[in-house]
Amino acid sequence: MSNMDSHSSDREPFANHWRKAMEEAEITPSDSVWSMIAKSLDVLKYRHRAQIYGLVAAIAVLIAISVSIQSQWLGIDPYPENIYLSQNGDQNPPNDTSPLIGPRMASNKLYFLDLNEVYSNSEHRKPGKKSSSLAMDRKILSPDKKEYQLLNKNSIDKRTIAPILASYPVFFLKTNSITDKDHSWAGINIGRSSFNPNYEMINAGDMLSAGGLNPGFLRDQGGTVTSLNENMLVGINRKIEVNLGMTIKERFVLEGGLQYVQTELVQQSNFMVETISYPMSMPAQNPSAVAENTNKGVQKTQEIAYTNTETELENRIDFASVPLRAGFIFLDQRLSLRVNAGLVTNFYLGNIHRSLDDPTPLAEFTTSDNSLYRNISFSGQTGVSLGYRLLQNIDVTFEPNYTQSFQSITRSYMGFSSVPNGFGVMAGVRYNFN
Amino acid sequence: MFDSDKFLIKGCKKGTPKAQEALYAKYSKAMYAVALRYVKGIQEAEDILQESFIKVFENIEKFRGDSSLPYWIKRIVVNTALNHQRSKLFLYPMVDIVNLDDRVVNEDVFSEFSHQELIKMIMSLPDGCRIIFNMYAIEGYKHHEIAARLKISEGTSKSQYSRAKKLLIKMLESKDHVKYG
Repeated sequence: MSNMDSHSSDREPFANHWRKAMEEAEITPSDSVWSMIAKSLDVLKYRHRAQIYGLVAAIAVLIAISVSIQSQWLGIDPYPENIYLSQNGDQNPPNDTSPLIGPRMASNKLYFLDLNEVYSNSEHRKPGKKSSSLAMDRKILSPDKKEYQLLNKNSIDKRTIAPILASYPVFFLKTNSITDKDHSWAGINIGRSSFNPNYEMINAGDMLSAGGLNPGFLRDQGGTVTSLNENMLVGINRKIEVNLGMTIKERFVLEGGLQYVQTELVQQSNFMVETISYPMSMPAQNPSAVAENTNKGVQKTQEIAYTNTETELENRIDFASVPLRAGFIFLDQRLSLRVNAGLVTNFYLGNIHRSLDDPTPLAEFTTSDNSLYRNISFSGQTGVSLGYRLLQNIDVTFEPNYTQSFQSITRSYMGFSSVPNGFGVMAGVRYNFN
Repeated sequence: MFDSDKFLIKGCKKGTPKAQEALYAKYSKAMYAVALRYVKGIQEAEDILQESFIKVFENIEKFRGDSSLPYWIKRIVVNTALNHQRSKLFLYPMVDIVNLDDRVVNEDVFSEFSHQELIKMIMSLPDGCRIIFNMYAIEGYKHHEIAARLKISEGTSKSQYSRAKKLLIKMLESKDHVKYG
């Protein structure tokens, strides 16, 4: 291809003539080409988004797992002879589980302390923001990677020497909770997830009588509609959630909430419309006479026309969902990490069919209609909730998750099933009550 | 808003539907003419056009401006058309044709025909020699490049071009526009 368009003068004249003649050639394609391109781009957009959500969720889960594994490894105390300082600057007995500020007792042998507390009780008073440091071998390692010599309970010798250990929090220990007691919270999250419908046709015959996946479009067709093929493509979910949670036993938590979920996906329908027409006009004086004439003459005069149509529609389904999750806290410091799993009950609210290039609804359905979708369906959800203590009682949260439906979201007699799953991410804020 | 290619490209890179539609409106006619030259039927040309523009929008991020935008799009259309036609080359193996035509056609002849008529002439060529004629005469490939691209011999490329030339002259001749040299 490197030499495409690189005509040389030694090329024979006939070729050059054709080239010149074709240089400005333009022919208008039919409108359907752009229409098909626009539809394909929409489908690609959905797929692309779904891939991004999956990727973000997978990366976040990997990070969370890595952090967990790393923190477990760090939980082994390599310095068994360390001394400890409590909040008050006193030596802290191993069994003391009193609340501490900042990073807590890391093990029976290793303590974190609040440097401000030390400063406040020492001759080296230094105002500053609340920070934490690590006391070890009578040395204090502050977050600025400088090491200080601990002289006694209430004073430090400020000598700068090479850092000996990063002030990395040590997890998986009994008293590493930020509150060190049961607490509760309320949160609000928004997020998105991929929606892989896992569509399967079970019985095409039933489907035909139900009008296929796109009854909204088929409604306006004059004639008998036969669905030849139906398909649901990958879509996306948009979610907004409010939730309440509480610790129920040490590290175990229970969280429940209410979600509004909007699912958008593309549906393809390939159907045939059979139209019967009667070219010979019927006299319409007497209704009974017309009926009689029709019955007698229909086989000879009717004309049947078949039209094959392929269409793609956007289907927006609205659900109200009630998630109920149980979780296990791996880390409850300024950075918190919790693994959740639970059940989500989905209540179908309605759905709208629209053309891909026109937002005007073609048809709307609610629970009162003979909808394709079950009024109630159940799915399972698991995720890793990461939180960061931004203010005194407020955390920002980020949760990658995976949702798998336990059953088809469509009614069993519809001739097809859809058992969706998908990766997603939720982000929000959480207010801790105590 | 999307008059210049620069803005079109920027809009398409952002995935703006209006920019995509404007880019299509600007270049679809020229590209459809390219697609038509490689096929026998309108439906197939529309399929190539559709597939090509989807590739354009999917890969617009990779367009760095080393060449002009229409040239880049044309390359995609030609490649897509060649991929479509490749199966036909296997179905109808091309053989060398010894009888070469050395007649010369006056350039003025071409101005007597509309683009549609000229494209129809090319479309009516047999599959193999139509592809080679397009690649050699219009796209500017050399015979050894065509041979490498289509995995045929250079001789086959030359003889198929000759065959196309002979047939096209006959078509032009039918309207008495050919002058012999």
